[in-house]
Amino acid sequence: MTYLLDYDFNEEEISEFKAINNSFIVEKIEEYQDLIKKNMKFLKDLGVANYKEIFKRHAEMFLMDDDAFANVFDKYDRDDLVTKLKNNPDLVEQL
Amino acid sequence: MPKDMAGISETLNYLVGDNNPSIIRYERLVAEITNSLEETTAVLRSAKESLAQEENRFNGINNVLPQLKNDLEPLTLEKYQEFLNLINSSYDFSQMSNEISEDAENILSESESKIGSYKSKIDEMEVKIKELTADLKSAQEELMFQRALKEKLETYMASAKTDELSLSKKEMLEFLRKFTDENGEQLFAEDELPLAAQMVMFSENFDLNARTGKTMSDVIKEAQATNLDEATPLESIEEFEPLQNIEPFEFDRPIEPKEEIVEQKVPKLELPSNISISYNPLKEEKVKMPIEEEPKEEYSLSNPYDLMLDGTTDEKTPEDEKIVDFAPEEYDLKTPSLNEELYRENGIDPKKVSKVAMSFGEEETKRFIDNIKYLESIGLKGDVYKYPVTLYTVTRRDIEEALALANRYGITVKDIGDIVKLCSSKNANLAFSSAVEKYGPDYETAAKNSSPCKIINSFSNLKNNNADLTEYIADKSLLASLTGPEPEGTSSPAAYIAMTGILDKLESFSDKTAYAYVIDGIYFDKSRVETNLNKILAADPEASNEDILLAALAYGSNLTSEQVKKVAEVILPTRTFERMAA
Repeated sequence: MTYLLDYDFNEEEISEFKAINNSFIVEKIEEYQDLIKKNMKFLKDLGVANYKEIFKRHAEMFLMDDDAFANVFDKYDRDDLVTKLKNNPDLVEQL
Repeated sequence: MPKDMAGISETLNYLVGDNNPSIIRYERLVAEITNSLEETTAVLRSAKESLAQEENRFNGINNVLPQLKNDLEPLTLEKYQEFLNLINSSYDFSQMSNEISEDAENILSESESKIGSYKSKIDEMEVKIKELTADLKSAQEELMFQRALKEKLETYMASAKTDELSLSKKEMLEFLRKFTDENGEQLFAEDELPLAAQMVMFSENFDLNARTGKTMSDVIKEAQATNLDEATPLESIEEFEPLQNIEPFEFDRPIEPKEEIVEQKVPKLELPSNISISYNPLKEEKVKMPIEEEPKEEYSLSNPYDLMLDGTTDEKTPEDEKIVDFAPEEYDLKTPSLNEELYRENGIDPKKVSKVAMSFGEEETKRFIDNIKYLESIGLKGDVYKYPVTLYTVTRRDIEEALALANRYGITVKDIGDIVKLCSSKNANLAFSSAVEKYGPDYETAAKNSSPCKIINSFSNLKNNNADLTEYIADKSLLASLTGPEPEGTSSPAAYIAMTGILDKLESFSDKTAYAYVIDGIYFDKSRVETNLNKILAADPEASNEDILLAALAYGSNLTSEQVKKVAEVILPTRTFERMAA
């Protein structure tokens, strides 16, 4: 999961992620690096500053197909969504 | 003439004289008018002539018209009648109808004929399929028979010494005669013994070659050379009856290419050493023949289907290819197409399923379908496509345990996302138990309406945050459970700004903690927060910073008096609450 270092994660955060999540999640996060990167980049480009927080809390969502992942967020007004996600990262569950 | 008269006369002469400019001008004008009148008269005359001509033409036409009318009327009717006659003669509708009916009948009859032809072809195909199925049955049984035989031989070879391999044909037949089936009857009929011996020889030869590097031919040659064998050594295969002349075995029911059925059909054989062998060809690797040392047989064990389908050639026909498709080794139950079928059978659009989820096999896919059905059956809903791993990995029991865990700590599971979080988190139990340990029964009560997701996420951050945040995590869950949804008309950025401003005054909490409070869903209007802060400070100038902040949270949100009381009971020192309430 060292590829997460390119997305502003540090070693401690990666270790923490592994410690929190069950191995079957960690394995898939490791296996589907390209997909994770695409979805992470999408959020970052969307302007979601706390994309790291969202990933840490809802990593499994990042294993969705990239187009489906984008559709989850594209339905909403960008600025409004970014603001709301900034205030409440768990909002992604309700999207 | 008087002088005046003379003057008048002179004047008159002047007036009527040729030199009078007025007269000259008048005369010229009269001449111009005269010319103009003449020209006009000429034009009018010409116009009159033209009019007369046109009138003549008009009169002529008028005279002709009645005649033309009289001429044309019968002509038009006549032509119209002719046209009708022409149509009637050209298009005999009854005839056309008959022709169409005839064509339709022809087409129908042709179709019926074709259908009949197709049916007969289908019948033929069914017969062929039956024949093919019978061939396949026979082939599979033959294969099982041969492999079982090979298995026995391998067992035999494993327990026999190399020098025991030079069995005579008689000894070999005697040896095979001892094999019995489940009923204790002789496994090989007398007329089958040569074939069995032949197969034993094949297998012996193969195994011998594998173990000693010698072929059976070499062994036979050595035996003949040394005259060690008083009886005839094993015959070469040419001495045995060709395989294709052996009647295929008959079976009473079709064999499905399923593992358990094939396994049932395999006869249990018993070796002299009472070793029972149950052979499952589905798990067997294909047997390969030795390469150059082996004599060229008419059939080969390298592909068992060669033996049964063509008998004498290795060439594959299209039918062979079809049968090979039914070979057990070709069964791959993890193909995406099979998963797609599973999804469709259960009313799930495979297009919605992510590639990651599609990478799972049949077992996981079935588990996923079972899990979402179970979750729906207990009233939990959610977007299952957001969780392309957990719901494929965990079992129903895992889910039940997660539900029990939440129930144990009084946490309400609201949707599938909560369950996924519980199942995918390593420390769900730890998070709940830590909270209860730290805050006791009150926490349990307060957290009843909190999402497990939220609690786990909060506790997941414990290691990365300071003690203030640890406090916040527990308290915010409690507050969040009490405050309910975000009040309308509030703005979270404004709340953040307001809270930051308050914290700046308090100089106790970090921005991080303030932000954490805000994102928890406890939103405030800036002016209201400031007003409430002032009220609190006025009520209790000695209140601690934490008391003030927590009071601000409780007071500023849309809590009912009962909720405020509850917050106060759990979090705030009684004195602060009492002052606030007062």
